[in-house]
Amino acid sequence: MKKTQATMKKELQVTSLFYILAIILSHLPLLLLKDSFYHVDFLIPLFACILVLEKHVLTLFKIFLFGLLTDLLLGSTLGVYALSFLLIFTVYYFFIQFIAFKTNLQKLSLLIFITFFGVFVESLTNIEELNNLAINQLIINSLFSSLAGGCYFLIMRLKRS
Amino acid sequence: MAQQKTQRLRLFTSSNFSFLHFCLLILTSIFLIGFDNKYQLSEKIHQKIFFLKSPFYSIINLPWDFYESLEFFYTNQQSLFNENIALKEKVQNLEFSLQQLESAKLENAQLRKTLKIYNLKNFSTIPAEIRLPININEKNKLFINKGESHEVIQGAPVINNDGLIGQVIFVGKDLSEVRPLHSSNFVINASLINGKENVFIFGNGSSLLEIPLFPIHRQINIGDIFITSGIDKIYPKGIKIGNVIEIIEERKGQFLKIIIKPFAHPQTYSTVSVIREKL
Repeated sequence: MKKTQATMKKELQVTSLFYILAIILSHLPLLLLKDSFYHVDFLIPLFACILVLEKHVLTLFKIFLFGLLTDLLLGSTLGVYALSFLLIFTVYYFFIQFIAFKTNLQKLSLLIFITFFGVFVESLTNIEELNNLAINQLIINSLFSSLAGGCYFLIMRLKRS
Repeated sequence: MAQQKTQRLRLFTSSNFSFLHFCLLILTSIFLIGFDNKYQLSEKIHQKIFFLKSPFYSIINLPWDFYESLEFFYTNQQSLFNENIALKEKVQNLEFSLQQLESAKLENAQLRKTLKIYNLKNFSTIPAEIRLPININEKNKLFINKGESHEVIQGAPVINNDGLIGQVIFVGKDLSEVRPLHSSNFVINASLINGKENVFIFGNGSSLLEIPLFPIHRQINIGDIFITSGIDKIYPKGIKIGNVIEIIEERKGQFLKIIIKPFAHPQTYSTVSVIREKL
């Protein structure tokens, strides 16, 4: 079903709102995660959710710019999010070529998988933190981020229905 | 089905982008990461747009400020009374320490005169409070509520009762960002508390500090305390940094890697002081 201009505009507004929210949440200390050893990445699950729910027709250049903007706003090393988003997109594209994700559960599984992958890539490309990277930290951070992804998914799904 | 497939394929093989573009963008990203790590490009950009971010940081501090003012407003008389007694006791103790300090100061001046040592530069402190955000997407950040309007300057050291905390890197009007001493790019010149061994201490991004290559023939023990040496003319001499908790052999026993635990841990301070040179 082809999207109308109004639907696309509405989707863009909702995504922008989520993006601003994700940026704000990234700056706030969460009550249960005061120690910086664990954290929730709010941007990667959001991007994964946009991909899985096919909210926008994304081009590689748009994804690259989106990543760079995120790097600038978060103050992280330039290119980290751009690379992560591009690789997430590649993995997503690879999957949808072979498997059809039709039901919500299937889409949610894909979302969790690519969020895990995205957090791994983002942590590995972040050279500053690489020396202190621990595998348990990485897994727990991915779990937290997947949880955030699940929340995005539910809200976006609810909105659609 | 076929139409759906075509629509999906369009994501990657649209008329504007191809596999070549994908490779180019990946390479650009990797190049940017490398370039940024070498030349600290993001920090320079961050410095330029810091004034744009300051209002945002003020907004995220609003709920906490509101809670604090409410708490202050509704604090009962009994707790204020208790606080008053505690503060009076503290003032008495401080007055006693001040008297001792005054006599030590006189003795110090006398000794300096005898030994013909020039006076060190005088420093004053600007009290400040830690503000949100303390963490941006995994990275520890430190913001204080004093800026240009309070005469905070870029590069000024920040301390608290426990010791050195970091250095001011960006200054806004009423907000400054401090680089904590354990962050990856932090380097400081230090010496042992007995004045021996001038070394550079590096932050490594974890909660600990390190001296990567310490000559093996030099004497160092677990528990030794490092203080600022004052040689760099940025940090006044004698600010406590941390103590040695681990000594590891490096490069086939030719050097030692010294692990230092800072006295001031990022989670333990809420108020700090910015040091500035007296004009």
